[in-house]
Amino acid sequence: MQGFLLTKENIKGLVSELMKSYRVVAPVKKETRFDFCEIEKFEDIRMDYDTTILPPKKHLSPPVETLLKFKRSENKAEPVFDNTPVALFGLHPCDIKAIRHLDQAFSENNNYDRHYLAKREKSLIIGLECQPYDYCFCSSVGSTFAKDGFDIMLTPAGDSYFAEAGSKKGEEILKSIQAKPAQESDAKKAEQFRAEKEKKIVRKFNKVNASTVKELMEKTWDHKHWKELEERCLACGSCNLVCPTCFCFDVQDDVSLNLNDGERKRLWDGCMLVDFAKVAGGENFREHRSQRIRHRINRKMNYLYDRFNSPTCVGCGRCVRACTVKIDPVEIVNELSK
Amino acid sequence: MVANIQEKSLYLPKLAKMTKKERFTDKEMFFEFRFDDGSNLNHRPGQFVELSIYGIGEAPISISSSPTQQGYFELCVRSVGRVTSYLHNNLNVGDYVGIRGPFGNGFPFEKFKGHDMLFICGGLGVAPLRSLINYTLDKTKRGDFGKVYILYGCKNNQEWLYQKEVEGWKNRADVETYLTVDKCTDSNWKGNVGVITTLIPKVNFDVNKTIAVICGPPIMYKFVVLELKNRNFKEENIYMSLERRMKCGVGKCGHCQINSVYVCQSGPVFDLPTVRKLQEAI
Repeated sequence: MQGFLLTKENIKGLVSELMKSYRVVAPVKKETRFDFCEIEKFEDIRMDYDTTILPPKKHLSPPVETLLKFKRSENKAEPVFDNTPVALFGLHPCDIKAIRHLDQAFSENNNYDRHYLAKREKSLIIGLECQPYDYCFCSSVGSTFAKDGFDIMLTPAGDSYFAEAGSKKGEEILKSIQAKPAQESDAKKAEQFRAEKEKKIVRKFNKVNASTVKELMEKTWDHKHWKELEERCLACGSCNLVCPTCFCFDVQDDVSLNLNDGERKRLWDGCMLVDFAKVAGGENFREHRSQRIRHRINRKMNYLYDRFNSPTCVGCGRCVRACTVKIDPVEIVNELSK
Repeated sequence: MVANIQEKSLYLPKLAKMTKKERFTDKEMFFEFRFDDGSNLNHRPGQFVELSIYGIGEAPISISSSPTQQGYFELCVRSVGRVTSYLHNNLNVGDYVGIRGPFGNGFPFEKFKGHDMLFICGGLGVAPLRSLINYTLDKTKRGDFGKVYILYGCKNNQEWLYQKEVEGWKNRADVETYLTVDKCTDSNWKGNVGVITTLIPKVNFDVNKTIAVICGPPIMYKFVVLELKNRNFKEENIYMSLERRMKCGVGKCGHCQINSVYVCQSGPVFDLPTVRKLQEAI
């Protein structure tokens, strides 16, 4: 596909173009960190962000989402779909891949989750090539670069950005802002940026890679390290909360004070929390923290591998940063493969 | 992603009217439901529904009636949580609940044809197995199966479910019914006392043509399987229905997951060779 070269002024033009028809969500500074927020003006955007506190997931599958509105007296319910068009701007390749996983999870087995998909189909993804920061390990899980899953991908090329369209929509937008076609030298600069990025990724699995980590997990089910992690893990669920590919949820009913009108809501849930696998009768199928942390790490590296044809961990490093006791998937995998 | 699918929610239940309510024990009640349009649930034995009460919540309940029972469906519900206690205490015949489903794989009864059937039910485990038992014993299906053995155990004599039907099974010439209580609390009880595994040596089944189907509390499976293995039962002829927290029923919410398997989609019925490959399953 043909590339374009976007100056900073062009990027500003692109964002104002998007703001005409989309709610534009982009990385903005929040005290000492960054987060994906709806922007009011182009200047809010921080193209140089390292990573965000929460992944962009929250704008497609919010922490609390109304599924149904009901009236108890009439036993009536109506589904609620929010399809406000949203443009997710400035996503790094790991987050782009994570959204691909969510797309699949919410549409698998002919079970189309319209609450997610209605929003997603109206959304736009503008990717931004990144530089590694302290916690990421994307090269070990195969998510260093995004080959698809975006409408437009921006890669720094000198003072400008090399832009590729990944969809018809993306191409139309790039044409509409009258971006000028990129030269071969611009493409080369972008290529060089990516090559340097890859070199700078230092946190890695020692002995396995994205395709062999599954095998390692299968062989280490009974490894003593799971028990050791139990001593450290507080089972707080912070890792679930910040993970771009955690899509498990709870459903709760919320009734208004008139005891008649109410909403059935979906809330983010986490497999590290003690009652995640507990049934009403009292049996808890993953009672111990060691079982839950083994479940979580396996779910990211092994359990869903065959469905997604890849680890579901995208190596963004948010869970390591969020963890009070610094439990780290890279250290776990390296310990297991010793 | 697939576009052009109409705006339909996976989570919107269909209303069903309670048409019967009967107390079995202190904790368990029996319910019959019907859809106003007269339609059937169209389930397989072994499947479950999500039963929903607006403002209270939703709970997975196994279907207790056979699909050969047309025009209605039956659930046997233990009062243990918000939804189930509300159903027990606040809803009555004529009231409506929401139903989603049926979900899950159900029993592969097509494969069971021509076999003898050994049902091993522990406590509330009789509820989902009754769906298959009633199917097997239905006069239009009975010829598809050989001998039928029903093993049913409860904690004590106050906990029998479907007591009248169990009497009916005992009186049928084509069914061998074996009952046991873990602890005898009725001085007139002349039956077996002991856990359900103590019944297995009493049954004279032919391991070459019998299918065993197990459902009960989580602790029960390992011991029943051991006892069946002692009788040289083939692993591939042992089936079980597993309990998990099936919150959404559509393979999304993650609560029912065992390793790579979402029980609400690939289960709750598994054969023993499959269960052997799943750590944490039993």
